[in-house]
Amino acid sequence: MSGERAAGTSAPQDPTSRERWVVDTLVQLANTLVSDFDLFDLLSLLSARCVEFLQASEAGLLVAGEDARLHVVASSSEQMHSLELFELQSAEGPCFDVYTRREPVLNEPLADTRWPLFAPKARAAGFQTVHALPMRHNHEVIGVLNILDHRAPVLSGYDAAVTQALADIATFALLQHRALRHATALAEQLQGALQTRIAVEQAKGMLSARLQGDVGTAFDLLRRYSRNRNERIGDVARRVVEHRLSTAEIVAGADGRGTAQTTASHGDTK
Amino acid sequence: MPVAIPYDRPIWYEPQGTARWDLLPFRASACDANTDHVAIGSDGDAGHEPVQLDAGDVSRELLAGLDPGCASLEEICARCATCAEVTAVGLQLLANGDAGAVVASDAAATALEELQFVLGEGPSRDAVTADTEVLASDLARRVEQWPRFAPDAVAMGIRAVFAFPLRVARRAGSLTFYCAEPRARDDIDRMRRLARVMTAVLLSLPTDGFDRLAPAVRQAASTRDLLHQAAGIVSVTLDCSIDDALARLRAHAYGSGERLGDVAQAAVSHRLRFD
Repeated sequence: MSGERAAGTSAPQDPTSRERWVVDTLVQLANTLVSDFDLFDLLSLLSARCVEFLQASEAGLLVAGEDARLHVVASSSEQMHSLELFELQSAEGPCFDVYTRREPVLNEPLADTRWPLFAPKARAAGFQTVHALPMRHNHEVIGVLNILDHRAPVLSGYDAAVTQALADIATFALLQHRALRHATALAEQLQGALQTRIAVEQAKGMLSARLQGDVGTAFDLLRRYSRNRNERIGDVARRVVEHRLSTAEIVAGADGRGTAQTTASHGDTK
Repeated sequence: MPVAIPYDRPIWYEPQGTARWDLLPFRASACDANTDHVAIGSDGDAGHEPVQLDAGDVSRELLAGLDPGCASLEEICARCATCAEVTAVGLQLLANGDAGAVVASDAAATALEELQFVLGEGPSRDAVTADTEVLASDLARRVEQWPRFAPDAVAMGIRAVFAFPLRVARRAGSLTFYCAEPRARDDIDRMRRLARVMTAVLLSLPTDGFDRLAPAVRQAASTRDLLHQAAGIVSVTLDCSIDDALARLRAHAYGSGERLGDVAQAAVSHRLRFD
């Protein structure tokens, strides 16, 4: 991840330079997204940029898992990380509110009346104000961008809009990452299944040639051996093809316990 | 810092795991990670860079009325041929770096894909090996590149071939369009779109091990069963590797002019012996 700005610096404050900074940051993030990217590098960079832009103290990202619960995925500091974990454990705080109500929390003082467990903990760490923005996708909230500020509320409408744009980029990165990961898993399954099938057919041919029988008999042997050993037929076939399992062993193993059943689990195979 | 995101159900899947073709990510990079490649080896089309495509329109045309659960890949290939107005369409799926399954729109396409498999040369193989589009608008001028495939395919009435690599996160196969006449650039764009739809179709096929291959893929793979049984038999007879046995079977098919499937059948039923 190329970050020419070190974390901890802040964005320029005069409006023109600030505008320029926002554009540069969005361009940098967009450039990252169109190539191979490391999700956690990107989300960490995004948290850091958020802190710089708002001159806030800390930012973090929480993402909903398959269990529909939030998980911490990026934090600008260890302190932020433990506060977010505390929020998750106590099941109370701004992120929970955003996640359940699907509306941003902006310029919210850390008041005990609203968050009796979280607010005192956050104030004790030196924070006064919290902002939390939804990571939105199709009217659903799939995560939360959480920002803690040591100052009194100062977030403008413009600030909120830019911060929401950063949260939306996080959404896009996350969905893209998941889609790619799923596609990779599918490709591996597809090729693995084809390769297994090939190994089984080749092993059938080899066994039938060695035993001078037909391929059906050879398959029956393979199946019985696998069942008796409680192994997958594809793994057994691969060992046969790679000469790591002899015909004699297959024959002995297939007859071994003599309890082979002939249910047609691979019935479509010739 | 924890780095696990436990949630990874893809956004285009229904909660029950059934594929929704209308939601497939035609624009997502997961579907095609090499949109920025430049087609190489194209004659007359050099430097034509594929643009970012919205395959939605052809996908509707291609898949209309098909049931994702039971449509066969043959049927989809045949529809690809109709959609692209070409003579034949062939799909190969990779396994062990070679064509683990071949699906075709018709017998002509099967023959053309098998020919490449037997010869070890041709546009579909190049598309997969080089991981790039292979656009041969005039097959007769490709004799140097494919000295045996090009004349044979031309003799079968094919004048132009357009092969597209399919990527499902990584190389997964190829989709090849065989045409009786040269095609315009717009037609080739349409084929490119169809290849992306085919990638998305592959993404929608649930496969999990030997028993749970999607019916469509199982059917495609079964066309190779005899060949691999034969390779097993020949490897024992000749005491050679499986790869060498496959090479012998291919060579025999090419030398005798028989179809590879017939050669395999003969070897499995002991009518053909190598020694």
